Amino acid sequence: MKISVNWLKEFVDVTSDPRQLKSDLTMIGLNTESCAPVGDDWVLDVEVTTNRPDCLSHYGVARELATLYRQPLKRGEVFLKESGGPTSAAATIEIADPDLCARYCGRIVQKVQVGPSPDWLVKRLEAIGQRPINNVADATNYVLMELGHPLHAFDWSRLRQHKIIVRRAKPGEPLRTLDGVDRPLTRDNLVIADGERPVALAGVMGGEESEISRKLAPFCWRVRGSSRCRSAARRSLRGCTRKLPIASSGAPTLRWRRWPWIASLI
Amino acid sequence: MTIDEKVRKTLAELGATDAAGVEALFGEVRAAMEQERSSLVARGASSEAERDKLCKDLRDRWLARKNGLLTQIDEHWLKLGAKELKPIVGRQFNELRKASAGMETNELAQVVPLRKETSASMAQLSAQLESDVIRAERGDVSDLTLPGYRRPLGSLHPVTQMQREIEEIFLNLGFWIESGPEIESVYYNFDALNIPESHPSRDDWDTLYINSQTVLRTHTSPVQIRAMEKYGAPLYIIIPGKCYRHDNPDASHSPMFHQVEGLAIASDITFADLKGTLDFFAKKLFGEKVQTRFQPSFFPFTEPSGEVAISCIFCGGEGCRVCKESGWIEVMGCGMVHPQVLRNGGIDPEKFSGWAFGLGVDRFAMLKYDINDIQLFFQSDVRFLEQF
Repeated sequence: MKISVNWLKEFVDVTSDPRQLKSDLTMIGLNTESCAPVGDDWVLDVEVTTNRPDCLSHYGVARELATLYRQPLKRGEVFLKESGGPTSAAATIEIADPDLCARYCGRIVQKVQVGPSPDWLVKRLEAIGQRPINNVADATNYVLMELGHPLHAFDWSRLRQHKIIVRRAKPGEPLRTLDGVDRPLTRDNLVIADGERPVALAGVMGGEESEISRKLAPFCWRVRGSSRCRSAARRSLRGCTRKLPIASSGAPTLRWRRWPWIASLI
Repeated sequence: MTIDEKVRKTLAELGATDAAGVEALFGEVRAAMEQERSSLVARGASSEAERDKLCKDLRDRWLARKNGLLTQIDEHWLKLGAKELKPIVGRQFNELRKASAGMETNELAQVVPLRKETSASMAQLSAQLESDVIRAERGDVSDLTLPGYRRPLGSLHPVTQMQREIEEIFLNLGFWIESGPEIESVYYNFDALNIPESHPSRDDWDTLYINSQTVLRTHTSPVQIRAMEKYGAPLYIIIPGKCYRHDNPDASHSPMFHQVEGLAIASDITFADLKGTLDFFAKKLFGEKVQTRFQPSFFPFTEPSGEVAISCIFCGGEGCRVCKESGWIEVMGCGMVHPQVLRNGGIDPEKFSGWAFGLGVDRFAMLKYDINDIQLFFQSDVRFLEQF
């Protein structure tokens, strides 16, 4: 995973130079293969082994460094301006198969104009090799890279009955994912559905129909969480990603999505 | 019609009216040229004088300015050819001219061998030999000065040599050699090694599946479990063998490659023992001056896990292309055997501990012999193999 040093510095004071950082990270188990300057920043290519999903984010790596250097770990400040009625009035979330998903949260953001992201965000994403798409998609990607928690944004107006139901798919139910591929679903697949049909392959990829489009629309963020790494959930997710071939270009964040999330870490 | 006759007729007379016809004609000429050349080489010459004469004659036949075959082609096919065919004929003629560079006298002379016996006298000799054999069978004396049969000597494959060097070091330490099946069950290849189906680490190996429960083993580690089941503790073994991965072959990857696994289990094995053994091993293999460095890593079947690097044997640690300027070359993985793996092997982790390592033999051979392409090992090219 590519890590930006400037981004890291938001969470921990790093005084060592990048080459020292590369060596320090390697010696605590995060093998860093290269460090290269990118503009006014340095980018480290860190190999995160499968036993350390907590390090698949800048916050996670910062946590390691804070421990190593005995520095405080700084949490980002959250500025949340709430307005309008409660989210639960505008949309409902139901988890029909809690053995496969223990927690699912959503928020609604209204009156947003979909367009390109601000320069500072684009710069950060590009520095770590992520492709900017639009402000909404980039925001979800940014959070993923920063905190390690995958998000997805739905177009609220396209969620029928404004409902989200996390459930097993019915065999033969249709779903066309963001990459334009029609996915044959079985009972082994966990889907995010609205009041009528699946809108996303849970934890894997969003559907094409509810994708954020270039228009003014209120939309719903969703956060998928699991309070424990349940075997059944993991098996279902892995079975899903193996049987449904997803080109890595179509799902660059698939690696993060393989881990049922340990939300309590943040 | 012979070639000699053909080159003295025009294309029209020969019935070559299109590109295909022209190409066919030139093909015949090239074939004839090659055939005459190989005949001469096969025939040989019985003296330098004879050789020079034969070569010059052949050369003149084809390349003489006045009446050589190429000149005839130039006259009759190129100059007198139909206008629309001229570009094709011109191209073909140029190709022919290039190919005829091998017909120059000095070129020919280099490849025509000097034989004491030319084919003429060979016939005589073999008749003589036949009568000798008949005489020998009748009890008459045969020619005792004839040389005996000689067979070319082979040598061990460099990967085999490397494997034996490694085996030698561990045999001298008191280890013995175990092996296991190359076609392995998913249980032994993954589950018993603490790599469950639902864990992402399963994807760290690009596995070749035969069916859902059988694979071509991706590492020699399954034999750790088999050996533990067979012998229990204490255990000191190395396990050489072939492994398979669904890799696209390139300079550093081959779908089939060789590994050596090492395993030591006893009541008091520590990480210090692991470091000490591997440092000793590296020095034995690469020389006393080489240093080892351990860095943390992860394998599901060891805890803690490590990667071993040696000080670069090419630049001595200064930094070079091979070690990517770092001065160190990563060579192998290792670690303390995970307690669950011990349990899976039927050994009580409360009573015993152990270390394990795995190394790529091909990679070691590439380092030791300074070879930069793994595929060279598996192409069966004698010109490569006979160098070892």
